[in-house]
Amino acid sequence: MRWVALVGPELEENLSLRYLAASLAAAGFQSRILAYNSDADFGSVLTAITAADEPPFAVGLSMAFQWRAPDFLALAVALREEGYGGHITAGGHFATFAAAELLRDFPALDSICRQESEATVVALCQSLVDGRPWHDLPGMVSRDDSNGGGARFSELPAMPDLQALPWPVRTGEPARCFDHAIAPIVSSRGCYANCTFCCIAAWHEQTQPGKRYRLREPGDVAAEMAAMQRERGIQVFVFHDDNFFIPNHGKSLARLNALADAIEAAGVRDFATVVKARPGDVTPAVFKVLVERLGCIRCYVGIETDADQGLITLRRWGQSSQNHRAIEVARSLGLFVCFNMLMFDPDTTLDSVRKNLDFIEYAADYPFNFGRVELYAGTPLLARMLAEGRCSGDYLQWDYRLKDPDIQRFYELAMGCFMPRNFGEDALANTIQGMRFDLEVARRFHPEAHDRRLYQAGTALSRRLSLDSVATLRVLVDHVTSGGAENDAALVARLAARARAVEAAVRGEMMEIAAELHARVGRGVPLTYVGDRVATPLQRAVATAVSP
Amino acid sequence: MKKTLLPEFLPAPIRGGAQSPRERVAERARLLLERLRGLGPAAGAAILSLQCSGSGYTVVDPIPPPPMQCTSEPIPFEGIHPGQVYETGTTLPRPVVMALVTSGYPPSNFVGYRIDAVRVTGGTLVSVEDLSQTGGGGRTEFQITIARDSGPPGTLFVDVDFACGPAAATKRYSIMFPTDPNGPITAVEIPLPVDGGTD
Repeated sequence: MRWVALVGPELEENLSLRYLAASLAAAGFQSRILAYNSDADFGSVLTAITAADEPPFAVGLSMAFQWRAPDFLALAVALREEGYGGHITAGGHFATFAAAELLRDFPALDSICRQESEATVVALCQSLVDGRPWHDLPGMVSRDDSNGGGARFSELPAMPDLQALPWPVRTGEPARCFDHAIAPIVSSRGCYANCTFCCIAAWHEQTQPGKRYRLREPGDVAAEMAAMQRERGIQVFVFHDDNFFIPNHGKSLARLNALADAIEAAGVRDFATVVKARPGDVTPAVFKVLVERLGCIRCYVGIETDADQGLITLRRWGQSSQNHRAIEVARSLGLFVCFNMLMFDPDTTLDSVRKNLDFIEYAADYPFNFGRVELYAGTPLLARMLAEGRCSGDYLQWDYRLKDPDIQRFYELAMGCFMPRNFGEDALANTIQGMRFDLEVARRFHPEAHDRRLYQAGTALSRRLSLDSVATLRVLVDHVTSGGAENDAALVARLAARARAVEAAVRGEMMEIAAELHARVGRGVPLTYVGDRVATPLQRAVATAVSP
Repeated sequence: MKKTLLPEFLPAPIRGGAQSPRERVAERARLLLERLRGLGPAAGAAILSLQCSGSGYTVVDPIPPPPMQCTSEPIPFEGIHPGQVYETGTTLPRPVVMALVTSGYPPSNFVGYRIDAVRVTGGTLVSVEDLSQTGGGGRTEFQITIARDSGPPGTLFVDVDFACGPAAATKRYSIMFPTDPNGPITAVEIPLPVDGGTD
């Protein structure tokens, strides 16, 4: 059996790998998706490749996430250490933008597949099997031995026709919330915006300068949804479009209605959706259709910042008023939304922080998380910071200091207090979003179990956590600006201890709400119970075979 | 065709100096392979990668954590300092435990360190425990337990060989026991003798 190993995160069904697997299958190649979510998977992935009766003739590493690149590179090195002699390629956003550096530094890699690689991977595999040269295939980056081993870039690949692409493979059992099956899907690729920190925008700007997005036909999306429901019982469709909307409210409205019509015609019933939007996309007319016709029960709204300075630094192409309008529209429609705040960017000022804290308070009925803007390969923000000489580290992990020393100090203090809440295992800022999602799933699918008191208790609880975060951050701001008598370490120790106590109390109440909801629904389990742990059985299944 | 690329890919750890991406990754691969083969000390905690919290369908768009690995620091060992020092057990003289921790809050709160060796003057090393926690909110904490040759007052000297990826450094600590039995035991870092300096 000649086969291809596709290695990547499978925290959710990994559509990038599954699209590749589908294209490979259509071309007659068998592939296996090997989930590599953490170090715990290292051994199983390694042995699935090296101890196979017939090792794969090619290994594809999904390097979309920059911060996990060292894991995948270490796997490539280990594969060579264990004697694997097949072709190792890598793809995804990070690999695309760091192709030259990766090939320079890691001889374990044979090539990089740039950009959307369905056609590239198939052509590469065909060339490898046939023993033909592959270096000049569109999308390939290789070493140029005639040029000292420097990177040799072939032309960028043609963008795949989204209508012609085979649907992603859907092997394995889907994740479930109260026994309602969940799966991701995309109705488009790309985003019309061009934020400075976003590698997705940078990626699509490379192949579609100025436009940066492509849409699938509503009928094709609906047909895929119908197949997912028919074959796997999917009821919650998580649209992982980079942006579910297009930059014209009238056209967005028409597209959503067309999709709703197509879904209805395709016979998809009793379903819900989850989508992502920019604040400017959120209008009463568009979102009324989103909620009423497309069954949206959760929308991630990319607020990111409410400060004028942040909106400019991040090139958000939006205004504070749009952020506020998005929240007001969500409230008027009873739509659950969540958001992130990029509280720290290279130019953040104390005024920006205060403005963002005001916004979080204003929107405290919706859960949020906050962090620092990181510097991703290929982005205008990284280019700017490099030009300004402000980056430390290297391309595997760029770091930087914030321009204002007070803000840098505030950032360090904030991380000291909030790391467990925002980024730790079962980080409450995230898991409480799961509890809110559980309430929405119950409200959508089990109206008899929906209890207004319980629903309000859940909202109040996440509000309590949000306001506690704001209050703690305000103490830190005051400390930095007023030169408080307490030293930094003592302050962090005191506030962190208090924050952990608040989290313990909130977590306890969250579990009580989940338990009561669980009892009322009477089937499956809520996502709150799952927390940050495995959400899909595919993570337990090391390998998923995909045959032509 | 089988490719044979060793030892190019997995070099023995080098001591000192900045780590290149290739060196960091090679070290990481070596540690992961050692753990897989059941080799190496405390395969553990110190090499686990950061997990992005909010995996699965709990969060739509999780924020990644900021970098925290010690390997991203040009001088990775500056942040390690003595934490709590206390006596333990009942046999006299009572053994002493010294904690070595990273600074109290990130991003100074790096993880990924290991201790390669401990040498004690004035006592006998009992154990070295790595209680570090990785991932968001993690921190470095080593607990070194020492049996004293004689009771207080007095001073113990402890040399610790730290490593972070291929970088290494030796630090010397002095643990001082007060004449007042109710007084605090203190531990401080002291300069190494000139002929026994940092690698």
